[in-house]
Amino acid sequence: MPVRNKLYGVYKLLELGGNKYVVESANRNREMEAQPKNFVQGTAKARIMDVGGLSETISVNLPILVGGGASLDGRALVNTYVARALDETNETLPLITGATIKVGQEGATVSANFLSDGRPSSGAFRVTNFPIDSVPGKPLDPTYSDPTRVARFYDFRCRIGGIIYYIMEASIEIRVNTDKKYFIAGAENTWGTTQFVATAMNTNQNPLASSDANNPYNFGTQFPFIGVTGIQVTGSGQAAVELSDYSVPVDYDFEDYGNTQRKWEAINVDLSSDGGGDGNHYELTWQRPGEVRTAADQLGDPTAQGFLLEIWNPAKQGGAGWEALLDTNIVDLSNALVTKSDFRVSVGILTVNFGFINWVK
Amino acid sequence: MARKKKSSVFIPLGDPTTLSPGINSRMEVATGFLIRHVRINGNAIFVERFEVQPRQEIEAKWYIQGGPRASIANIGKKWVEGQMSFPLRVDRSGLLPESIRDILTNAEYPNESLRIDTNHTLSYMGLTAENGGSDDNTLLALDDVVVRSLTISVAPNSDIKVNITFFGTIDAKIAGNYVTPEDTEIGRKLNWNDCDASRYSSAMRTVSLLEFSIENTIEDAVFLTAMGEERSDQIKLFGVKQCKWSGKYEEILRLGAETENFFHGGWKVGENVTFDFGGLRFYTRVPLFEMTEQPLTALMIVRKSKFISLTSPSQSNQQGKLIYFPEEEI
Repeated sequence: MPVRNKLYGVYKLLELGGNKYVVESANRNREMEAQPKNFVQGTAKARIMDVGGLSETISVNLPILVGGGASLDGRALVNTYVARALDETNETLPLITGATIKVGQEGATVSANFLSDGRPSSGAFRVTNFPIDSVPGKPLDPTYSDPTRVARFYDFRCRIGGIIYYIMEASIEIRVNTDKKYFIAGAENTWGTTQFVATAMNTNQNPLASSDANNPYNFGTQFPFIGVTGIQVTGSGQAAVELSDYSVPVDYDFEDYGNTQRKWEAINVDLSSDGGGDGNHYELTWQRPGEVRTAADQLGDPTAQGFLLEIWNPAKQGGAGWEALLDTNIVDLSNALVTKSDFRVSVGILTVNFGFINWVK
Repeated sequence: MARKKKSSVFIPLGDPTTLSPGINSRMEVATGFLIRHVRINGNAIFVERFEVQPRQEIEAKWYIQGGPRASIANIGKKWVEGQMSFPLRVDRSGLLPESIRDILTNAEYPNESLRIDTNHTLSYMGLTAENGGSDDNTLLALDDVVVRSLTISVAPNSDIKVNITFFGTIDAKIAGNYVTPEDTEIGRKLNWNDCDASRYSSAMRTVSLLEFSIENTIEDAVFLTAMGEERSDQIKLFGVKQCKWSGKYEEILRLGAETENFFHGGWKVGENVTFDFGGLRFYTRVPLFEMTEQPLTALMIVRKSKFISLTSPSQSNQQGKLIYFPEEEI
């Protein structure tokens, strides 16, 4: 029969670590280290193989959604997996290693990368035909939950230091540093006698062994141990630049503060030589001797947040409103340094590409 | 199936589909008795066709989502766009009405907005994504549009036709100026007999078609919502990046006609081209000609010439002026 819808991904539902998501595309890649080794062996031919460990990487692209489907979108994924990566005691695979959230005119996309140990029983990456209407809350049923739509430019607001207006796109990049180790596994059964083991280390067998043949803690498996060693958050974006000559008489440049209009001639790029009355050039977060200055300090208002990326939540507790795109209980990004201001002049819209890095609390 | 009754973005109708459409409670403003009329900057214009109205990107998107049916909406930016065509018309003193003058001036200097009022273009200023359907429309002025393209053309035995496309947005929620029939002076449509054409090196006595076009390249932009501002799905701004003025004409060939009219392309400095459409003239100082086309047929042989107007890039420079009304001297 020529109709074979089973070939198409739109019918499937993706599960990562047991959680279901609506995704645009996803990849799972398993690789095993292997290479021939040549010794003084009497022939140039590859007769001996060096077989190493396994690794598994996963990448997914997801939208950010508004409405019922928001529980299955990229924002839910990032908040869930960044929290898991920072949880010392409840390790669950897959482990997020990086995520980029990009918000622009066409909407928002999340690209996330994961690491797993390649163990089939981990369930890190599963493609299912789980009935979408059996997901609790029927998130994609527009007659039961709120109808779902793609989040667009009017659903986001952003602030990067002094840049508030004319922001065309903004990106947050989360990088989770990981380390991968292979240990020589201990014995699964009693090994030796306890009289040679100090009381404080009163064990004589592999404490993490299990009946799972693929458990990396068991002897004889190729699966790595994975750990998180750090997290960093940086970002970038693009804003339009507006240049107006407010000087009287006109001086044909955009370097001044217009006293009549009470605003700078250049918006989103600092073309002044002196930074105005307070001397604060707002392009980059310049430091001063003996001080640590954040983007908020540079604005002259230390209580202001230097970086803010928010999404409109129509179903917010207590009424529709703005809320942080990333859960502030997991990562608080309110302190930032602006590190890049790349002013571009072309025949089209004047733009500045900016970059920032955050303290992560 | 249980139906969720309370929703912040989805407000179901009481008993959908059981009532016939068109009951009085669902009647829309100005859909019952249309008086078709249009104003440009407050002045009436007689049009043959008018299709300027709000537009919006509305589609569905599909993901790996458990099935092929459309479930996720994708609602993008909103803007105003459309076209209009009208005959060139003069009043009893031979002058173009203000509305047509404003359109022509805007096409040449697209750095200020035109306001368009109609009796039939309904608009919704709020977020479509949060109030879909047909409720809450209003008759708003299309108060921030510019001419994106203008073509004026005439041929023997025809009136002068003007075709225009507009682009823009609704900047402020201003109620439309309800356009009522008004006392309008008797006028007449201009036609081929009102026209003339010439250039420095030719009287162009065998012209059989005249056409002049203005194309303004427009780029629009939307931005993330600024802190402290209301959300909006309207385009935030638009700008004109390029202005291109071009003309074309056709000439019937006969023995004795100017043979040096076959342009091999390139600019002709010191030349000029004037297209006189009766109530206005298009004056080109430095034409940049394309190669002339001269197809051979069994019928009358017609030579086709096209040119682009080269001028000063600054809009504030009068030296680069294109359109002249009767009271203006070239």
